[in-house]
This record gives sequence, C-alpha cells and structure tokens, in this order.
Amino acid sequence: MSGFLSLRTLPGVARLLGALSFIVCLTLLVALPRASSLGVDTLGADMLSNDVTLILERRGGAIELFVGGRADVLSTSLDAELVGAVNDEGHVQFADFFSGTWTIAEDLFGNVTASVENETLPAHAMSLMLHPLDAPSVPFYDSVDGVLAVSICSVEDPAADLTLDDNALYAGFILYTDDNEAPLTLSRPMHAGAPLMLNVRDYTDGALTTSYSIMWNPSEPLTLAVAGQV
Amino acid sequence: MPFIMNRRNFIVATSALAFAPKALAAETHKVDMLNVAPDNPRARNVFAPRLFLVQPGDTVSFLSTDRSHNSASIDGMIPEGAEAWDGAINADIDVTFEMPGIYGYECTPHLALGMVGVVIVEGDGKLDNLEAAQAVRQRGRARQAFAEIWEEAEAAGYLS
Repeated sequence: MSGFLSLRTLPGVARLLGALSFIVCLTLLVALPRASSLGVDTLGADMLSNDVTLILERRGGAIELFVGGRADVLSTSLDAELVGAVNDEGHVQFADFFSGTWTIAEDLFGNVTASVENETLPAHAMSLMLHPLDAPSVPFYDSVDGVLAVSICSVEDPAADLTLDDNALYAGFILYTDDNEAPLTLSRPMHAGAPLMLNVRDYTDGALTTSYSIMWNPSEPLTLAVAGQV
Repeated sequence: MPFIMNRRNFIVATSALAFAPKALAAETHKVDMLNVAPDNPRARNVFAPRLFLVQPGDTVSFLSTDRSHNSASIDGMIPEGAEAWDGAINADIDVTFEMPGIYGYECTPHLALGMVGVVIVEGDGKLDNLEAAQAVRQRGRARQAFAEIWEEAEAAGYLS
C-alpha cells in the first residue's frame, strides 16, 4: 500500500469529514442567529480595535454594567492607573487577583459618575479581570458572559510577564436603583482621559432592547437609554 | 466482672443515652464551589447549596469542584467567640460548627460577584447574631445574593 490515503480508507475518511462538516454547520447554525439577533458583526468584544463594549443589564432593582476592551485603551481613556493590577515594573500581578479585584475596578471607574433621574448612584464594583490578548477571546454578549469575563476562574495564569498593553480588560459594576428602566447617565470630569468609541448592548431581564455605537467624550455626559426612551 | 445497675450506673447510662443520639447524629454536609450553578446556567460562581441549617457538631465540607474558589467566613457575620475560617484557593476545607448562630461566608475573589452563602446552626442563641450579620455592608452583587438568602431562610422557617 502506498500513498497517504488508500481506497479502502477513503470512505472512512469521507464519512469522518462529512460528520465534521455536519458538526461545523450545526455550530454555525446555532451561533449565527445569536450574533445577528444582537445586531453586531463580531462574536464578542473586538480587541484588535480601540472600541470598548458596554453591556447593560436592567434587572431586579439594579442596573449592571459590564465593560470590555483593551486594557491600555480603557486605563488611558478613563484616566485610571489601575492601582493593584500591576507592580512597579508595570507587570500584571495575576496571582494577587485571588484576593479579589473590585478595588481595581473601583479605580477604573474612579473618574466616572453615574446617575439616574439626576440622582447620583454609586457604581459598586463587582470584579475586574485581565485576559491576555493572545489567548482565545471570551464571549462578551450579555451579562452572563460579563460575569464570566470578570471572574478570576476564567483566566489561566500566563507564564510570561505581561503589561496592560498585552491584555484585554473586563470589569463589572452594579448600581442599585428602583428605576432600572430609566436612562443611565455616565459622566467624566472635564479633560480627564480621552474619547472612547462604545459599542453598547442594553438588556432588560436578559432580553436585548437596543444596541448601538456611540462616541463618549470626556467632557460630555453619556446617556444610555432603553429603546424608545431618550 | 458483672455489670451491676446501681443508682450511680443508671444515671451514667441514661446520661450517655441522652448524649449519644446527638453525637451519632453529627453529619457532614457537602457544598460544591462551582463556576456555573447546576440548575441555572445563568448563575455563575456559586456555592451549591448556598444555605444550610445544621446541628451543633455538624461539619460542612466545601469542595473545590471548580477551580479558583475558596470558602472564608465574613468578618462580622459569625457569632461572637466562634472560630473564623479562611480556606485556600483551589482547596477543599471542612468546617465543623459547634456554636449556634448565623455564619456568613464568601469566596474571596468572587464575593462582589455574589458568591456567598450562609450556614445556620441550630440551638440556643441561634438568632443572636442575625441582626449583626444582616447589617454587614456588602459589596457588589453580594448585597442582592444575601437578600435572597435571607428570604430563602425565612421561607424555609430557619429564622424562627
């Protein structure tokens, strides 16, 4: 017998390829409607660009916010040093994240003020996580993905020293309010940070109500309203 | 030497019988530390179950079923004089509860994501530290999670 494939083995290989094709097609059939229903072109946050994804979940007396983007873009744009995330050499301290990362998340939103109906609400930090950019990207569609993305259990400790430039950043916040359907306004102090292009996905009780892209300038308040409300 | 049931021996024997069921009844309860709740894929980072009513002397085994979790008591959420615990990440830990009362606990890296739980130990003074435990300021989603747990405990009759 010569050659890589014999006539006897070919039918078996063909069957295997057929089965694999079926699995791939099935996977696409499952994945595509989800992506199209969200009205987005990418399956998760786009870490190759400077865009930032912002997910809102309005549920149970609260509005949850999940933000995902390149760590260097977010720290620069929000004028946050991310104290506790890196050491003096600028290397990310993944091992320290086991003691909780909400204080780092608080630092990320330290220059951000949130309000609903003109009432300032504290943005309680839930968690923050850095994912190496060369690792497989995590799904980031909704709040369930958001919780996973900000969880310590979703990241392997990289062998090499990494900086913020090498990582994607995901952070979660919760704002308690009885009026979780009201427009949420985020603002930053004048001249702090840089403009951010946000891809916003707004959910109510797990159902997507609207998705859009918007530029957030440091000096301008950003109002995030559910569909039909401005 | 034959055993003679005199008055003294009778007292000793009956006392032993009175305490025996308690000692024999000491149980070990298992809590899985999970990335995803078994009955709800939307619920991430959970203790399963997250609420227990136990008897004094019972042990709760916190099992590191998924990685990156631990179990640690929360300051201000255990009875005065009770021993605090702080399990290592990725490690099982057995905690034996001797003193009646309310014991709130957390997964340290996932506290603010709502990965918390409560053990209620039956006995005199069971509710003595309830008010103090409920008054502890909670971070992030832990506030919602504890509110749900107190409701569950109330509905189950554990707080009466």
